Amino acid sequence: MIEEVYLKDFRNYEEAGFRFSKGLNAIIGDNGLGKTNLLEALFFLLQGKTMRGSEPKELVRWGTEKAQLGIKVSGGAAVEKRIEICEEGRKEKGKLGGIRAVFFKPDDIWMIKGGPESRRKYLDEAVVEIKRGFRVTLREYHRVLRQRNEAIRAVKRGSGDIGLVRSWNPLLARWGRMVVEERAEGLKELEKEMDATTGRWGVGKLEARLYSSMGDFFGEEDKLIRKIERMESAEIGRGMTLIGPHRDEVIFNLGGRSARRDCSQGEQKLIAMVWKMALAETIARNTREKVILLMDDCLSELDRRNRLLVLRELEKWEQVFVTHAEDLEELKGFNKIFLGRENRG
Amino acid sequence: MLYAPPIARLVEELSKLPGIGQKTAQRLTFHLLKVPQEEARALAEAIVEAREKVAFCARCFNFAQGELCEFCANPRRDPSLVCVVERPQDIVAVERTGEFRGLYHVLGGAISPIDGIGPEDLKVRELLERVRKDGVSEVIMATNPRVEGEATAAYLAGLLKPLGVKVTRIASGIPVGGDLEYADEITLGRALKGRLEL
Ligand SMILES: [Zn+2]
Repeated sequence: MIEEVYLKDFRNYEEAGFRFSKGLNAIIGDNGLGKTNLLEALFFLLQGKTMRGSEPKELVRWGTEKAQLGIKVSGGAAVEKRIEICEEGRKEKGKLGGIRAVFFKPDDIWMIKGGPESRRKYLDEAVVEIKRGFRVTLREYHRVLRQRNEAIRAVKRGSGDIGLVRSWNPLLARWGRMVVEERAEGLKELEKEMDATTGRWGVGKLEARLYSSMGDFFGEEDKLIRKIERMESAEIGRGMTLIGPHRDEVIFNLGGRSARRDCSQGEQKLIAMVWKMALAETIARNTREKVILLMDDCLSELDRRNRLLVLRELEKWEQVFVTHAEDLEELKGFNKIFLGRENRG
Repeated sequence: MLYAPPIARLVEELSKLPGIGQKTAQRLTFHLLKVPQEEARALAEAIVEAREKVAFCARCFNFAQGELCEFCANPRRDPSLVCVVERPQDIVAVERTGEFRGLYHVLGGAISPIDGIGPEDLKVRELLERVRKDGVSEVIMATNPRVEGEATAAYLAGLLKPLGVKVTRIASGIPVGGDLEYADEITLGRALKGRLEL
């Protein structure tokens, strides 16, 4: 678990130190005091990357040269790690082993509310974490897709060779099928964990169904290639590849109702949280590493009953961080860290 | 920083080489300024000699010192077997396996629409010509196990099969996204023996 964290010139923090305890740590303070930034620091220290794939140098407090972060982790022997971030890059001292983080942010509700592309993005990010090799599968598939799309556009422009488009078909079938299969396997693992949580909550069964434009041709690549061939003229008309996992959809249903259309904002938020918790459980099981949950603003928009459901679930974890704008009665008994004005830069 | 003209010229020439940036070019230049005169001369002469004496084989487009490369000029090699590779250095990898006694055909790259590389930029027409005229019975596709190499093999198979020639692809087992050049000889040897008809 995380024992201590030290921040200097990180985001809004001029200089601050925090001590945490086992179990649930509630970080309480008004907006703008740096609740999210503190979780972001923990994520950066544990995962070695920023949350939204932004440049680490953006983490340096405005007007200063470099940010310094330090962390002390226990569980077996105590381990320390320090990171210094500046314009040129970063320097790291020390290494943490066997510990990682999963982050929930209020935006994650877009995996339910958003379009199919946002659900594919969430699914792919999750499967990359739980299935070795999926990153390579995804990379190869996207390379095939870009090449094939370019070949299709050349034919549409009148400067291409249809034989060149066709030479990518077996690759589209092979890598596309692998993406679909690995997504389905990953989703199955996550669904098992989600089932367990929603079962305890009694909110109805949460289903996640993957619908593939490639259909059910697993193990029958020849049939799949013929299906791809039948799309040819439509593809040239549109100037793009119309079949493959880049067109697939994941549908969430809660208790038989469409999560996107029929669920309330609060229910949608619960589903996104259940997803992240299932991801954390699956990572912990597959890697045997300790997973720390970082739950940013997860209690707002929930009624008291749902807040209690979430907190009862979170308190089972070895260590969890929850942020909230004000102190709540339900947070009684947890380790509370109040952010004050003095932390502001 | 301003260098004396001879130094600046050397830095500039070196930085034109693939994979060599300004900094590396400077490091190499300062290294070369410290080596004995005869060593520097030997390097310069080796570059000039290689460039003047080595050209491309008229038949397979491998490097060659005469009109034909060492394989095409060797009467003990079997001309009815042609192994298609992307670059001359891939021939070295296939030769290391000791499993192949035929001839080669160097395409000069792989088809890549996003890079604007099509069949007309590669030695494709020449390959078809060879198959029509030289009594080739089997063409083995040993393009790199990247998606571009696979697509190139599929494209060529589509052109070659109507000519009545057997077209095969080296079996997988070479890591995906890798280069033939770096595949070890046992893996590549096994891939050659286990080739499948396309
Ligand atoms: Zn030759």
